[in-house]
Amino acid sequence: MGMTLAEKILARASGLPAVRPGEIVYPEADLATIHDLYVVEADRDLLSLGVEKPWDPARVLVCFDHDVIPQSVAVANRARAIREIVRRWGVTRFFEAGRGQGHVFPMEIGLVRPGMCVLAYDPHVTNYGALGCLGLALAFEFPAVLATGSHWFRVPRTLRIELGGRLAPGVTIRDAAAVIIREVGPDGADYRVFEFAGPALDHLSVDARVKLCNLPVEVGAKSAIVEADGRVEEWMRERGIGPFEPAASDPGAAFERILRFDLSAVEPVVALPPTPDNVVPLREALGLPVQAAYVGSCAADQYEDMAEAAAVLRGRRVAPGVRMIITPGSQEVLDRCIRDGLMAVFAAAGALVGPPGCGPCAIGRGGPLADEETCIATVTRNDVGRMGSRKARIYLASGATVAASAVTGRITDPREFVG
Amino acid sequence: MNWILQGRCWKFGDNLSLDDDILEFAKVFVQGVRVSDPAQLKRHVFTNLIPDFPERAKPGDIVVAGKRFGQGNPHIYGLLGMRGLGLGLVAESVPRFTYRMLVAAGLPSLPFCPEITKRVEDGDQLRVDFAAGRIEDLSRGLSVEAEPLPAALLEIIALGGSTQALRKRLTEERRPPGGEMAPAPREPSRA
Repeated sequence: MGMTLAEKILARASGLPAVRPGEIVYPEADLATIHDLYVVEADRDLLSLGVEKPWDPARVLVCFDHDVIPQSVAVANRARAIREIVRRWGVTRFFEAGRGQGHVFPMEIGLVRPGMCVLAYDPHVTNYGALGCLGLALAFEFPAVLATGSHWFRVPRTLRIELGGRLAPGVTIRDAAAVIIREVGPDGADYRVFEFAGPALDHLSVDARVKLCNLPVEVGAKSAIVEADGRVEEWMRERGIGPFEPAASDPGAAFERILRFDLSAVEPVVALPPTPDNVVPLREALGLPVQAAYVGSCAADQYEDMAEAAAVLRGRRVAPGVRMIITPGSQEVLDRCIRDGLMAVFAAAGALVGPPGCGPCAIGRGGPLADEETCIATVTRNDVGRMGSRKARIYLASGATVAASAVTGRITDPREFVG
Repeated sequence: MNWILQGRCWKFGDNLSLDDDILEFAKVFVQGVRVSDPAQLKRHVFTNLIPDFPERAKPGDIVVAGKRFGQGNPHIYGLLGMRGLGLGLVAESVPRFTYRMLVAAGLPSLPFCPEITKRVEDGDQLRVDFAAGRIEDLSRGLSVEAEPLPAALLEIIALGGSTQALRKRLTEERRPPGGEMAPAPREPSRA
């Protein structure tokens, strides 16, 4: 019997001929990723265990994407400590503040490739699934990976989601991803790998696939993945990175369930506070005044997300009483925004462009919300306090909807402006 | 390890979030660095729901929660704080990542006990055997059974959680990935 793509990657990384759901395996990381908010703690844990260096420093990636610009001396001192730890660890794949969001730029420079197994501290490592790579998060248990290269995992079941049809104008892949996590729900998603497939992949770019792979973790999915097809190969060739190897589920692989979604039926949606799967049609929230609007975070900071916002903002201004922040996902994204004139659009609109990184999605860093404020944002989650004040409310939507709402000062359907 | 805890029932509803209800994430940071010491974290446990909870809770008390206890971003700190207070957990269900973190935090738990919030009340005296999977409500004279955690995971909890288990793993013979480097946990039964 065949294996799903996630099972194939786990089997290869665990040195086993085959794995089955429910089995306990110890995959060795092809790459282990950790960000600035956790390095000091991880090192403290490792030193308490007598471990001074990671098991294989060449396979460890450290990036500075959360506290990109330190807002206090304490945070600056922690940044200094992180740089010293990275030097002692002998990590060569260390990326300084401003380089980009850690779930975005490593794909653009070929550190993440189809078929790889990446073990991470942070749950949004599932973004890498857009290139056919399996990203698995361990959070607090991550020191085990740094010390040994591996840790125990139970092989998850795979839920296959076949996408057909095309999105209507003004409707985005973020809307579709939000509808999918609402439909599958926490009970259906718990500890599954979402594998996206179907005829719609032919016209879904790598940027779009990242959106699909980012959201499932919010309802408890273990990971998300898309097969590495010709579009991925082309995307890698454009960037001069490789080698490309196709990665896909075997014929006859055992999926727990197969769900079908018609993209042409998707309408713009919004996730009401306080959970990301509290997804309703956008019309139910239309007209609600907002004081803050944000496009960015690992859920929406690639070039297509920037272009989506710019298409609405072109020739328009952010409404009085609204502040809009935009953070490109990487230096590559920022550079292309400059070359293509998007930065000029943002500046003319009166939007504030922050440095590449996680932006205010990291508990309000670089632009926290105040008490009683309402924000519309592309961020990953809308829990209480996610972007600052516990008394603020966060509505999750696509970059197009966020931009349209910033222009009017009220939650607005982007199809009024584009499409 | 003594797997039996006896104390007051603190009953909560469904969907308690890791980052706000159980322990507000911003409170994890001291001088910009996360604290993972249960003795320090315990001061903030459930304070957004019950401001004086850490003063009122006693070691041996049992948190009884509804469905999807510990939903949200997988931050372990509230669970470490609960261990710092000497509490045990009985929940109707938890997300799979939280199941993993209960073990990593070393928190005695019965994470899949359906309808428990309909059987016991806040303030009841409970006696819970986490190894046997038995909840006794001494105030009401009733007893409820729940699937205990697998023995291999109880062993990690008995050691004090994942850091202590890793210490043990590192001090024992280093075996290659794919080998038996740690106790092999099993899927919880949800019967």
